Amino acid sequence: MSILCENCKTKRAVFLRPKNGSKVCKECFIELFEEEVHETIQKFQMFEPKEKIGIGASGGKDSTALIHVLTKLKEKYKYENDFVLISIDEGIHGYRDDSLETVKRNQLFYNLPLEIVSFKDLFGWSLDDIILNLGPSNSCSYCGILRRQALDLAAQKISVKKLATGHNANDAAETVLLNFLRGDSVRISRSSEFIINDQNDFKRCKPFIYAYQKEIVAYAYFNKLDYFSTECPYAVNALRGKPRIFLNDLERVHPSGIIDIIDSGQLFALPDSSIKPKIQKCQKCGAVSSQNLCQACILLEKLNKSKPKIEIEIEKK
Amino acid sequence: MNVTIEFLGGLDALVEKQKEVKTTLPKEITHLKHLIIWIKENLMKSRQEEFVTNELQIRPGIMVLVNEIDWALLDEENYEIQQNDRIAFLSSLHGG
Ligand SMILES: [Zn+2]
Ligand SMILES: [Zn+2]
Repeated sequence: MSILCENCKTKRAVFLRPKNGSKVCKECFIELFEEEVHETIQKFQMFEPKEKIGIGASGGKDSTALIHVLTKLKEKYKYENDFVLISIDEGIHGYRDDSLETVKRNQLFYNLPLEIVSFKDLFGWSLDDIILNLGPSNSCSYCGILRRQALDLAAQKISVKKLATGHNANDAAETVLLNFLRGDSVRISRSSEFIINDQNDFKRCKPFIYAYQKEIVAYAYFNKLDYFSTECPYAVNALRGKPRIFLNDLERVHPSGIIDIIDSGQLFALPDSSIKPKIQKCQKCGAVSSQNLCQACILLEKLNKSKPKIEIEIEKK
Repeated sequence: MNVTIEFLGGLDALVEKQKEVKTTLPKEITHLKHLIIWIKENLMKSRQEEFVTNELQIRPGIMVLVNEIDWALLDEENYEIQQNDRIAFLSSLHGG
């Protein structure tokens, strides 16, 4: 009744890969998963030789698995890259403080430098304070705007020109789908890019872009990784709306659908001449922006009007 | 039947933060499909919809492992529970 691994044909299969339906033993799964991430990194030339790479570390499953895989690949394939962990402390009491403890344990375990930047220090506002002022309804969008800015500032501060994040195939497919639902044709093609060129001197990359969420979780499970899985108190619930439920249902009946959606998004790539937003610099902070003021500065302006006694200094590069 | 049930990947939030429950199952709980309903009705006070669908199927995105083996290789919900099984529910939906 036990099934043999289809890869080594010697050990017992313990995992059915959602990605391709193969039945594999623990050791083969771990190795195949790592090889595929290596192939993605090579294929898209995500890391230049000698380049220092920031890894966005939240303490969650994706970024914890990413740190583990990159550390192993560096050793196996002699990557000439140094890694540094970058964490954002949004200031979410009872949530981020605990997840940062997980990051610190991993920092020690993998012996990597860690840079933590906080919303409070960078912008004068913690997320808890922002939500007290503006209410909880758009908390994820405020948080996203400021996180983006905070990561850029942290990367500049420690002179990292490339940031690797744990975004996976399910995240990418979800983004493509959401942009379809919104009819945002410009974003559909951008949402599935592997390396997003935000600024001339700062890039992001996603080594897990072809890795299924479920495989990342299984990888973390089989490796007994130490990760933090409590839900953010401001995220309304774990199912996060219809597109995510749809994608999970789709994956169950048609596993390759996840990758098919990402590929569809890429086929929608618009020619350069078409209506891409004009890129300019924010007049206040200098960040790349499609308007005179970037979204982060617009948000901070609104906040400071609501509570003008606090002095805000936005760090400039 | 004595079993250990694990709630991993954030599912502990649905069962009052218990990561592991050791229990003796009632006689009629013989297969995983019964166990899933038993957990929903006996261990969860709220947010059951994050564990099972309206059709009482396990929510897609939650992996089930019996003694560290993916239940997809064990006939899924038709797997017959054995004495001292360690049954893990592992969410890929929670946290991030
Ligand atoms: Zn094998
Ligand atoms: Zn700005």
